[in-house]
Amino acid sequence: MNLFETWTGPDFLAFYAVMLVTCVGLALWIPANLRPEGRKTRIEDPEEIAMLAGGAQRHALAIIADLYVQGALDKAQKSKASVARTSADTTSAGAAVLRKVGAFSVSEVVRTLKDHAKEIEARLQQRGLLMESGEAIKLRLLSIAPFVALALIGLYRQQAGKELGEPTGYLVGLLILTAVCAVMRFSSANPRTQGGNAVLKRWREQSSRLKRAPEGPEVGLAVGLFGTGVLAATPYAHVHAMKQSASGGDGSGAADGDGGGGGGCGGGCGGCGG
Amino acid sequence: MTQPPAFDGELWDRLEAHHIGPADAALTFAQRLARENRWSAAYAERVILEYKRFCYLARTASAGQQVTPSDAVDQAWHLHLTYSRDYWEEFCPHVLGADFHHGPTAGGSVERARYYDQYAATLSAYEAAFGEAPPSEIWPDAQRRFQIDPHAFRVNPRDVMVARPAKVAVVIGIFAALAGMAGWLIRGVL
Repeated sequence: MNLFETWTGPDFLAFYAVMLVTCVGLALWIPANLRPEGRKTRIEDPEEIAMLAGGAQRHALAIIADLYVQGALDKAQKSKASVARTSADTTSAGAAVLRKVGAFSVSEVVRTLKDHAKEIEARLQQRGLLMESGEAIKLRLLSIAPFVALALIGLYRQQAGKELGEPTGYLVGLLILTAVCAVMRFSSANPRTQGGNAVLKRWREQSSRLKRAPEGPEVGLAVGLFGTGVLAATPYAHVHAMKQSASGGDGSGAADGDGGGGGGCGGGCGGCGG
Repeated sequence: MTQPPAFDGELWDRLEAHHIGPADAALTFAQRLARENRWSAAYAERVILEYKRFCYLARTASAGQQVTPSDAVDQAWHLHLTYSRDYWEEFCPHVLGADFHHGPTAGGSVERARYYDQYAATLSAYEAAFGEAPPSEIWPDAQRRFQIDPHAFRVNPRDVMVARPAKVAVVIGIFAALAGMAGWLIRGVL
């Protein structure tokens, strides 16, 4: 017996499309509302903040940016860096980067800092800011469950239609779209608890200036909180180019300026009276 | 970490009370600023307030430390400089208490880095002095400040047509839709 035998192909396609939109809504609602509460533990360490905001890659980028600003790292090729000097005011993770030899990419630094990142992740989990890995996977699976259920219904109908010799091309297209949505949702899941989200939101609100133009010593924290986009059109834009390259881009959107001398003007009153 | 200097209330009171240009002019400083930049009157007034805050930061910066304005604040500064009698004979000596020279960039990557550092330091000093982050619609991010805003240039709308890209896209879209409908109707008639 075909469960949908009284429905025409267009009827089922309309039903599937409506259900797909509902599933997208559910995939947004579930992680926003069903994540563990956790705790709103205050954190101050820039490395922990970077890890909370964007995981191991953001942590590595924050370290790279901080070392780059201090002049301990230098540009090497289009999307790599190399150690310019081995001394810098940095943490044990920064020191590990400064022990690297030759030119390296962001992903190589992520590998170098793997153990540091795991250590920080464990600390954040203990403080109730990040979910335990089991909880995170459970939430990811729950988020994509509506897509899986819908895809199974669609697959059932597609097979039934195929047996009856009906055209199923549009339905196959919608099934592929469902799979793409599920993969995107699964891979872009945020591992923070509700407490972790609240702590990060507070940090971002109180540091809004850093998103616009961080001063040298603030660059590591700014990148940790907001990503390397804050470095576009700054003297540290090469770090943004490294990130773009690591994400599959060519880094061309991170030009070090406009090439024509740039804009800018300034003035001062220094030395002109008390 | 160095402590920010204590707020100089007297300086700020003088800056806040200063009216740029003749008060009885038919075209006031604020109106001219709005007209030249195609801003609303309210936005121009806000920019003037931010310009005064910028002047406060310049005056209270440590010796040798220069400050860099946003593009909007810079427009107010440029216009104020053209009111040269007010700027050099009243504002600088009696309100600010010091000469305040404008220095455009000499170009090149070193200058670019210097002006970025100054802009970042100015935003930081603003937050320390006024207890709040500068408004983002007047003090934008570095990319807007140093990569997009410098492309601005003076045009006369009698000579050229100026339109926002989004508006152009909407108009083209409407025309395309109308052309499609017309084509469909003509095909039906024929």
